[in-house]
Amino acid sequence: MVERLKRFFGDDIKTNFIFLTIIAILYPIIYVFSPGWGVVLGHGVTWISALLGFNLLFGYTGLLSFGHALFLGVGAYTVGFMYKYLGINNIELHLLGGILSSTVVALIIGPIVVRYTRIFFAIFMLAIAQILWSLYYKFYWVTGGTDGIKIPRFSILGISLEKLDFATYHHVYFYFVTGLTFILVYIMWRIINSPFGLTLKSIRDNETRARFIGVDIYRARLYAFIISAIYASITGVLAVNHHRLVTPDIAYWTTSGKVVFATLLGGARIFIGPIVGSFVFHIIESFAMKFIYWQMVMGILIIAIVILMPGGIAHLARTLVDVVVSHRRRGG
Amino acid sequence: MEVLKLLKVKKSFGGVRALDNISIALSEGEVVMVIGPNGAGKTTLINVISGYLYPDEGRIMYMGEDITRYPPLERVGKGIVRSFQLVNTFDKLTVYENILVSVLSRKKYQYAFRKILDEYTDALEETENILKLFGLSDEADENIMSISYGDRKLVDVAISFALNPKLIMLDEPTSGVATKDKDNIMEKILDVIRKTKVTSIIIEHDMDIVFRYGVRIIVMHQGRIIADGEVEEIRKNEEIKKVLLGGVYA
Repeated sequence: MVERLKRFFGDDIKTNFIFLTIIAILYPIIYVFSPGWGVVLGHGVTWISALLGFNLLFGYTGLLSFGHALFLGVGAYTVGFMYKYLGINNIELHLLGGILSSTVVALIIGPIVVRYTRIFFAIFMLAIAQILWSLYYKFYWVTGGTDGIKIPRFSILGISLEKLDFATYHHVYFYFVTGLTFILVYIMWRIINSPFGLTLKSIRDNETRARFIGVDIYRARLYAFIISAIYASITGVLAVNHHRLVTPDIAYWTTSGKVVFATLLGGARIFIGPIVGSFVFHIIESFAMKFIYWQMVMGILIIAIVILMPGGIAHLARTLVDVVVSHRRRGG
Repeated sequence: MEVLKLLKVKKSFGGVRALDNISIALSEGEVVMVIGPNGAGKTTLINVISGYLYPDEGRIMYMGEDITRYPPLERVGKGIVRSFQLVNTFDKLTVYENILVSVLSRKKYQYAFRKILDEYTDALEETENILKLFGLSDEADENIMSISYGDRKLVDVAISFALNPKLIMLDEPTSGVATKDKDNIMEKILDVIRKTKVTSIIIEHDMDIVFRYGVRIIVMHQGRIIADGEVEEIRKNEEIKKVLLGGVYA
């Protein structure tokens, strides 16, 4: 019975945890050889949450959002405002604030946007995200405009990190975020493998039929939308604590593009896709930045992915694993 | 007891009367086949009963309750279930998942996310039973798109049955299926209906099938019911035959 629910490579929680553990073990080694690449891994682990959230809507519910920067922005500016007006630099409180504010924003716009699908949903999200971006940009007396809001190093459970040297500080950041990501990955995995997750897939595959088996599709989409918003805002909170600067850039449409691109790169059809995509994206970005026309390099790359491996890296990996496993079985 | 009662139901699309003064009563456990040429209003009839469309006039009574203006979701909750003429399944899921999602929905677990699927043993077991009932156990792990069209039709009907309907409406369950498989599929469906004793409305285009398997038959033509009775009665009526054959063979 339960054998019917067998999960393949990349969709089971084990492969996901093993992958994250390998990264966590490799990180200090990489950092010793090149701190720069250590920081890149830091970016990679920071963005996993947003990509998982985005993919809950895209890969599992069938809603392509071109405006997920909206929620990253909400998370980021919650941190900015919390520090600027309340002097709070505790990362736990930042996370809590980000979760609360993104839930509120998702509850306001969610009931409207989830009534749209396909290009209409995508553009609607883009429009709302751009409106918020322009607010961050124009209301400089509140948001600091393009100068943004500078924030100090965060503290964990009231322990200040100000006196640490940069390397140690970064290690603390990396392992804090990695630990958090393990939890976030596990929660998301459970959601996708729950009855609700299957309901979302049924809406993705056939909205009309889902309605006729008794699913309130707007309600289900709204729940997914809220979860997605929370996940994206967490990356917003983490990213600005990593950069220690809150600027409108994080809420700009290019951020939304990054979320879409990195997810496609990793693979939207497999659970591990966004996790792999986050690391690979940041690694490629670091290489590409060495060129003057690095955006062009990224553009060519995305065209190549869409044509050559539409399933993303994770799908390619699964295919390879399948080949190896069946080969070994035949050999034995 | 009367499960369904339509009282003078009318529905027009522009100038076309799809349903013209339709009155039908169905008692519990009754199986009725609806036949008629293209455009007779057969699918509109199902659309109106399932809530896909609202009638312009008339009333729809279900278990003694007026459901004329109830939205589809509410009707599904009351046990009014339909399938569609074209195969309407969840195309990226397995056969098993297609039925499981329906079972979960009926058990009101459709938004539950605290536990993973593996822990819902009651729903998993029930899904297994439905697979067995329809003879689909061997294909349970296949992707729905990789099985034959006839079997996909069966899965489609199984999804509806997983909702434990009190009234089921099947819109041409054998349409698009190869002629040699039609009997097989119809027999399987009727077998399940007999076992579950559910009140059923089956739309069928194929006269042979209707006369072979039908008990009570409703003949529709241009939005009206032109005959409603036992299969023998209808078979004898030459006028009706002419309508059904649509002048092609006449």
